[in-house]
Amino acid sequence: MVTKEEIQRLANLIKIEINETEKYVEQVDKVIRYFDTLDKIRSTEEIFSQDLALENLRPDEHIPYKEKLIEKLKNSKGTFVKAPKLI
Amino acid sequence: MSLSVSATEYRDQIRNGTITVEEFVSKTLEKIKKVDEQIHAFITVNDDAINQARNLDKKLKAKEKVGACLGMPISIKDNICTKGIKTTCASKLLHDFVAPYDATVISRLKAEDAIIIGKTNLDEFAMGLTTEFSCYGPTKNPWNVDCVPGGSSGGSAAAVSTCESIVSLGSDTGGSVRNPASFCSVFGLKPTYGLVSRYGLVSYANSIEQIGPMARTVEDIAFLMNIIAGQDPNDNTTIDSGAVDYVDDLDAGISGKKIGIVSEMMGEGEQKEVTESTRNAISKLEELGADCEEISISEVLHSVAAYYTLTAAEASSNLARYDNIRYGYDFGVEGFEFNAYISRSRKNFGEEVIRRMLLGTYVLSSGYFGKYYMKAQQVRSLIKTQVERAFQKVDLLISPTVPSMPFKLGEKINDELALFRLDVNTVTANLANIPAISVPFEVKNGLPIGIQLFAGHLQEKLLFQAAHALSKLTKLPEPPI
Repeated sequence: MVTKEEIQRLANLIKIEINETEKYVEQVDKVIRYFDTLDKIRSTEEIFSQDLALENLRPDEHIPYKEKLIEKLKNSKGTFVKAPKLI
Repeated sequence: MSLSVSATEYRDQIRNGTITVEEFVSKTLEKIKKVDEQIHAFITVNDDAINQARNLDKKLKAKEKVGACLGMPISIKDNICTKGIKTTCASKLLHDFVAPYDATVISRLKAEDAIIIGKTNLDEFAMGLTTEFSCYGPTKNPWNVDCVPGGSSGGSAAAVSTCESIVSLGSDTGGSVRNPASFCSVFGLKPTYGLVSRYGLVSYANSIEQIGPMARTVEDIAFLMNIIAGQDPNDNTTIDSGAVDYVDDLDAGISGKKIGIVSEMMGEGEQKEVTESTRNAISKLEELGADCEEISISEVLHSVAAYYTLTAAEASSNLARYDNIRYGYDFGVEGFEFNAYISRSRKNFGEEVIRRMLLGTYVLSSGYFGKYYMKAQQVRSLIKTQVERAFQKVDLLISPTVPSMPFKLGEKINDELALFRLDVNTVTANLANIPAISVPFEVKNGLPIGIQLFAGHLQEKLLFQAAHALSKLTKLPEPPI
């Protein structure tokens, strides 16, 4: 059973303020119980990975970007972005 | 002049001078104005479309070189970046985000002189299959406005179905192109993973999702694939598929081809009309000379649980970047401590998105990782193996696209597990990296039913030939709107 504390901990991890904890407890629990079917699988199947061929990588070259991206951001000043206080 | 033309017909009419680009584009904009109040397929309409059309007409008149799309209006799902036009992902967190660059698919379309007519509605960040989880409100099904259009590319499907654009691009993570294509009676393709560049597609589940075309004919799907498919240095998961012309030989037919009917996707838990329709499609394919037999892919039974585990995990990590600092909605930073600001602003994600991030973080937590995430990866590998084995025996697979017909708005919005069950036939193609297409096949009681065909890795050409053969046997009505 997913607990209220677990949901609060997860909410902290994903950095979202959650007020309706109870609702999410119920919903997340319902889905996790559905996911439980996965835990019953007994398989030694090797996990396939999507390996990337090294020759597919693009050359390590600097491609200059002409536009001033910082000006497109909200709350920018000169070369700075305004952010909330860190300490 | 009719807006109900295919891309091929449009290009013929422009070439022989029957219509001008401006005439067609302005009539399309009128149509959007007329029907979109009711259907709500679009989030943003491109104000500059008419100017672009005029410029192309000038070029055409001066006999200058014009790209293959000849000004064809195309709509784009609003999670694909378009330079200078907003890309909102139907989320408050991106409500005024204007990308400074074009996605690769967009630059390829622009290079062929397509006109982006607008950006279409979706479930927030493409998470959903009804288009009800959009912060701008739902899109309605053009066949019955009380019903959902499917999702998450519901806006694209509705726009193509109502001729608000000739074709559209959607994205498909677990059926998000094929499901709405089926519900709105249009064609929708999920290409082989890596065939189409994802550069500029706002990430939800990178290892699974693909951009895919939606259209009113198979030929148009093939035409779009000729433009958007291919390797891209900006997306190193793209693969070299060689120079394939998907439009060529579309008429090859399917005589002598072996088609596997996926047992796990037939009958059980399925709406009666859908099963009947699929049986009907199978007998029609047999009449055309295909050899159909039942085939089992047993891991389909675990596919939805595995799919949601993997996509939730990837989503929880992808969506961590939205902190409302560099772009986002109007919410000043003054008076907030850093973390408090971020947690407060991220509250504006929709419920479904929050739920999936919670789930994704849960399955990745220590203690649960082996129980869910690793098992889901194993299921994905098993499905891939079983699908590969199936394609050693048959050329194509067939199933209904969705086990249900379009249902009422609000009917399943609070029932997560009921929504999950709608994905059961579509997620296999995503987990196995193979292509699949939804073919509009029948309209029963005024609502569409789509049939899904799958082909092996990079076998799009064969897939289109089969879809084309099947579609030639059907004469479907136009939607009432």
